[in-house]
Amino acid sequence: MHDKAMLRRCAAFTGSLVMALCMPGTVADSRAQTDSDEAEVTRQYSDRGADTCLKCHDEDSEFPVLSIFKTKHAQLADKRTPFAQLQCETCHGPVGEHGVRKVKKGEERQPMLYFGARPPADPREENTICLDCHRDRHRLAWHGSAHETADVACSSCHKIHAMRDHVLTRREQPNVCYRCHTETRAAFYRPYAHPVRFGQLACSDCHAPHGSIATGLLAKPTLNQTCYTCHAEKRGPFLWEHAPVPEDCALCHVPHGSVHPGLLNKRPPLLCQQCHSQLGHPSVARGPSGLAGGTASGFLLGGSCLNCHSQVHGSNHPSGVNLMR
Amino acid sequence: MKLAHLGLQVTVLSVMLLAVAGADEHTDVDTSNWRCKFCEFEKGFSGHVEIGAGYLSDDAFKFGEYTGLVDEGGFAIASGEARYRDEDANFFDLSAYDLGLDSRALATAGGSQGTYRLHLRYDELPHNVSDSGRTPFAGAGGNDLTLPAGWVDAGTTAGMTELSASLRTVELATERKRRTTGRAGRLRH
Repeated sequence: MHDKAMLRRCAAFTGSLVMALCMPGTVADSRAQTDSDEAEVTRQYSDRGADTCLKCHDEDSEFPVLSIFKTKHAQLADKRTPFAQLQCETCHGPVGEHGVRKVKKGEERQPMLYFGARPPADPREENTICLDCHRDRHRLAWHGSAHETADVACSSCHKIHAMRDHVLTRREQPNVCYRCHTETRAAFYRPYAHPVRFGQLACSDCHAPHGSIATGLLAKPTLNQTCYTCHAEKRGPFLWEHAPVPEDCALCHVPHGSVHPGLLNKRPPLLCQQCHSQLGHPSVARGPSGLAGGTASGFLLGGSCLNCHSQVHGSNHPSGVNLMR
Repeated sequence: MKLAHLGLQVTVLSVMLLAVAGADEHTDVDTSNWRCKFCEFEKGFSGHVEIGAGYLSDDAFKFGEYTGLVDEGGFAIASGEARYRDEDANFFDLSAYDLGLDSRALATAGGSQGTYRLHLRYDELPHNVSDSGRTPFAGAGGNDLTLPAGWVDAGTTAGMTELSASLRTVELATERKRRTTGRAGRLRH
């Protein structure tokens, strides 16, 4: 142990020597960095590991931590986990003076590295510690993602010292997301919505919260590919395609919730008439006065245009050119 | 030239030493007295079961849009979770939700943490769209739709004289069943 510390010091010294020879302009910066590093070094790891922490942080303390022993982080046989390494100090850093039994009157206990959604937590520092281990394909696009640039900390959504991390369960995850995405929460309470509030879908079924190459942090590279993971019957290929379908589902639909059936962004026939001219086709909604018996317009009832053009997403029928069969 | 050669040697030595020191980052911490006697590592089985019963006082198609609770009457529901952990990192999880409803789900996973993981999931997702639709066709919901005997074709609805007599209620609904299974493992341990 002593030899390795010596080796590290030698390496640091030799590296500094090389830097001083090659880049004299950086010496002052280097010295300032060294002072900072020395301040870090003065903080020592504890003599007794997790026992140092747990003698105070039991279930009755201000920051109870014992639930971490019901999580994957506390598995000694898995050498990747914090408890198989430096226990609490793997993530929270050396305990230093924080672990002393008593502090002098009027003095504050030396703070530990704090993980949390609010100050004094530093989201970037905190996330760096988590990402030190959690580097996999799901987090490839984290840097530069909407959540990363908004300084969202891992602990803003995840609970580490808890047996159940709510954001990882399908039925409870939306409530975590709703803390910030209140408008989306309202959308799911509209009369036509994806069944998120029934616990049948989670936000992460469509979104990749740790970053994505698609807009809206979508789980798939495009919006349509994301929708097709469930709505495979809309994917085609079709003999008779409806042009907007393979282009973008959002041309006609809203993803979260709508006041119109089918999560449409406008009520038919008005939605259809955004593209389809009335010329050559009775596509304009007629009032009761134009109909025998003065009944309500058939174009405003039921499925409107879809009363006849029921195969609006595409048809494979030989005579399905008008998407009616 | 000789000085440049010495510089190169120093640089190479520096990189090698840093590599040696950095390869074992935590070994310079003395953990010989780390007993972890207060650590309550999870071992054995644990779990819980929830059982409930209810009564729907009226038919309510929209109420049960995604749960299947649409018909008046009583119903039973059960959910539960079970888990196992041991000191060799073996684990097993079982969870079940909404047993008794059309939205039931069952998931299980097991393996050895850090080595491999197997998982299996089954769930049903009903979507009840409407119970007020009416159609003259027989066989709604199947592959063959047939008009009733004596059906009168016409160019207008008013001319379909048998329409009113042959209309029957049809429920528009879909039912999805999802089955997922998979295995994950580390190539190196």
